[in-house]
Amino acid sequence: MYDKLASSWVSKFVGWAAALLILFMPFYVENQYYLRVMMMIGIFALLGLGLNFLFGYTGQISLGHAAFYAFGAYGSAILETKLGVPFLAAWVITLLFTGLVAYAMSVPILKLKGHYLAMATIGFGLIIESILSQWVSVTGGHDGITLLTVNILGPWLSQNLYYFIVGSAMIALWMLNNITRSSVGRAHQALRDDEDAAEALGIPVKNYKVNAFVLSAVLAALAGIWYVHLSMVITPEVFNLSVSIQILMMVVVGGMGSNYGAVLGAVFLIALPEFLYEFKDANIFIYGLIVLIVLLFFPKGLIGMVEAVLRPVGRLFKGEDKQNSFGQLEGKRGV
Amino acid sequence: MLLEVKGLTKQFGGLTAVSDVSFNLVEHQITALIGPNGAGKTTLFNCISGFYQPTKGEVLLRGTSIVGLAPHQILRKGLARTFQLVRNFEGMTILENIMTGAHSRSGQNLLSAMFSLPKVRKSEQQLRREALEVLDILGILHLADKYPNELSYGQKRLVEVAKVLATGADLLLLDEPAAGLNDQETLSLMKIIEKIRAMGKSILLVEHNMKFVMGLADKVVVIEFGKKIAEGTPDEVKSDKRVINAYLGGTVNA
Repeated sequence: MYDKLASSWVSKFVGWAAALLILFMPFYVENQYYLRVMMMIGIFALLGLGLNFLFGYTGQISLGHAAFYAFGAYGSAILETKLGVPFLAAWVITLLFTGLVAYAMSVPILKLKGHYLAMATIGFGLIIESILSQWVSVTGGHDGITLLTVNILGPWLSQNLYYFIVGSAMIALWMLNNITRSSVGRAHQALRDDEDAAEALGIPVKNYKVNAFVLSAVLAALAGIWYVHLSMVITPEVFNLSVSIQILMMVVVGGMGSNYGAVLGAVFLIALPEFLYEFKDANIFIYGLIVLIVLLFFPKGLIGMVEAVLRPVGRLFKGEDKQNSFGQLEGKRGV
Repeated sequence: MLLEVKGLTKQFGGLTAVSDVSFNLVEHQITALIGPNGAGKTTLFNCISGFYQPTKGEVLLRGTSIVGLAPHQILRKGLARTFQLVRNFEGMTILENIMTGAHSRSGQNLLSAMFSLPKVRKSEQQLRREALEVLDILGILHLADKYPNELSYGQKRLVEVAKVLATGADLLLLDEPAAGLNDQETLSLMKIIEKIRAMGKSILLVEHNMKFVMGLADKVVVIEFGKKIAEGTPDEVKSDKRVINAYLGGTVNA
């Protein structure tokens, strides 16, 4: 339903303008700290978009998404630093490997539903977390892995990581919008609302769940690849259960079942703590309070809030050329 | 023969819900499956549509067995079903609900949809046009942009029929399509089902409303305690002693 916001030409223009402004921010923003915050938002937007497709659109919960995030970060870092694989090959191998693991585990795990699926994905997250801290010879244990981005990507690429991270998040948003506006997207929503009814209409429910799981895992791995090249050091704590919960919270607070909501959730999760930093010890308290208020009073999340504000504005521009579906058929008949 | 059910048996542990039931469906006919509550009608539906695996027996759709196929595969072979309870997709408009019914024919997949390929955009228009036509046939075009929770119960029931009609399947299994409808709604549903048959579809329906069954069906199959006790035209079944005794409680109110 939020897609209707994006259908008029005004919002299309605003959308493109905003996208260009965000993508070319390094041209007019000098402050490296702000750019870094933007990159972290891009990384979390990738995580949120992936999980939103799995949870918000397809109805399958994952409380172990930090594990796939870790696959991306550790996978690319190990390949690049320990095995000397060129970065592009390392990224492709990492993404393919994550996709394969997600595929292999999704077939048995997606037989579970609701709370049981949540528990199973937590279990998966914990297994990966303990491998990261215990398999010292490969993962560096609690010391983690340090990676000097400039040595791997070269000076130009490592200076312009912003375009990769923010650009890929935008492409992901575009792709997921394409999916969710298509028949495939509606099929995913249908199986979320009623699995048997969807199956009876010819939707291969099992395959679609697996697709969603794999796609969302690969997006998380991409976020992990960006994270390790941005932060240059990774430790198991960056990928623990609380991070999985944060990713899920981001989707819910942003607005489940909305791709823009997932992005908004990422902005909220990353930017707000930075603003609240001035409140020192009270910042977590205030953050928690805001989350509670959003959940209690805006069941559709932040995007629901934004939509409520924008709806009257949108009406001004819509005019009479925008017919409803009824009018379309009448028009076709020449009535 | 369109559909052949041969010696179908379904047991749950020690309980035999359907026992050695056989019947055939002829193309372009409306067949009604009747029987008292708990007779095994819905179990039979579930066995035919792939939601249950029959313990014994065969189900042949145009001569090929569909036993062991998943429901979505059976649909793609041309057999669609509705459920006893209304099962609309709450998060979508009615138009989108109907369009979802035609998803299996859209040719779209995750990758083509992701890149919004021209063929996907074309198929979206096609789906939309067809869904509007289906709504028009059922006389609920004005509901296209509404959400399921804005509809009356009778309208929700029609949306269920619209969804299976949109699948393009030519054998429709309707599980109590008139349940909970008032007289006027039942009458208009009868007209709609006649219209669907005139489009070249074949229909198997479970129904308790005798007026509905006797007015519509070309053939009636009666089951009781999981066994078939009679089969024939509505008139033959109405005068069958076993049916009168076992199911209709001595009199037929047709």
